[in-house]
Amino acid sequence: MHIDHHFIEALRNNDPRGIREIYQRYSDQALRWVTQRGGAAADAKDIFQEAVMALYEKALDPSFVLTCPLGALLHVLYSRKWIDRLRGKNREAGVRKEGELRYTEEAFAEDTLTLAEDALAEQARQERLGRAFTELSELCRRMLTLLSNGVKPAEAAVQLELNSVDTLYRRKNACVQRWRAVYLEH
Amino acid sequence: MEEKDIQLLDDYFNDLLKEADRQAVLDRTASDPEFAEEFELRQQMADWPRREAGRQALAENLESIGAAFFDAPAEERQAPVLTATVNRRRWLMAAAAVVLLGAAVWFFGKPEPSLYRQYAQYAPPAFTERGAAEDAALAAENAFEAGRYADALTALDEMLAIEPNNQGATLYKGICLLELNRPAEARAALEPLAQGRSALRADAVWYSALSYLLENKPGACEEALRKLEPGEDHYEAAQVLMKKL
Repeated sequence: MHIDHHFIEALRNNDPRGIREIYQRYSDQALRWVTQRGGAAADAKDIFQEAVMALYEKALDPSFVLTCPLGALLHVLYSRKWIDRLRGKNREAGVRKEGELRYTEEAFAEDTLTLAEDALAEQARQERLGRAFTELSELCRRMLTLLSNGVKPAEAAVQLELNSVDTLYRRKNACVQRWRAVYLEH
Repeated sequence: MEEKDIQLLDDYFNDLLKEADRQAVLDRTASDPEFAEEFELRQQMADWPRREAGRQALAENLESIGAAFFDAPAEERQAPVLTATVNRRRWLMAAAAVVLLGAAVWFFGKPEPSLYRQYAQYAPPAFTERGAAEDAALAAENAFEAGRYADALTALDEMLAIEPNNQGATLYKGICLLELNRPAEARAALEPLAQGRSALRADAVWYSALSYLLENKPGACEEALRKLEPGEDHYEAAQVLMKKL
């Protein structure tokens, strides 16, 4: 476990004090990095936040343990976010910057790059699940949210005005299959 | 995925299976990769709505905190933990950036698992403006900034072989040893600086003191911190830290 692991706990707990320390330590570096590459402070703010959110996806796994310096991991995350943003706006510029990024990433340890890739993949998967979720019916969204938050099936059936728990399970199974199908289409 | 497996996963996530059948599902995830992939997706779907609330709460928090660091004009931004800047002409001053903190007061009174981590904060080194030992200096900078402290230490040793009186390299060697959890060696490396009269004396004393935190020796840490004098770098931080020991 790296000594920066307490920042992972801060993210897990949405602890403002720990999160503020992450910004105090690393935001200035992100701001410089982005503005030196033609971005604005607002861009730096967005991609730094997206990088922290990607890290949060890893932090949600209770077995996740940070094994590299947080600053290095965040740097890889926000620099890749920046390249993605450039690629979205201007493919040629994005590809050029990608080459530059590959060069600079050679300085980072293998586990840092692997962790960053895992975090970004997990974030992409969760965003895809989220997009598919929004395409479900209101009843499906309400039902799945209630059950995910630990509401007992009988209580959920009452809240959703369903006749029985069996009906709830049938509806839920159908909602899950619909969600899965839309997710796989995205 | 066969219909019976979809039904099995429905029952699992609806908590309708007996314990032995639940265990059989879990066992199968270890031996059937396709089933395991589907199981993981279903687990993520079961968790997603609950976790989404946490994501939104965190995003709001980040938006609010981030504004203080990115939205404000430069002169109004919250002071970073590292307050000194690197003078690239005199690279030795890079180490003077090992100033601590504004943030120490912020932590005041809050028990933390690692006092060392709270207080051990430093700027990236900037050795490469120096003419001699450039390859080793560049390697040290890159490795240090990437958190590869063992590699940085190797490069710093190469620098010190060429320039044995290089005080900045000595200081960062001590910091690398601390990050590698080798506190006794760190103190030995920092000792000449801590005993001397150079501009890096206070930094060396400070990091020598912090090394005792890694060994859970608060008494020794306090004794070392008392070597800092009013007006020196880290003196105020040391007073705050001593109250927490």
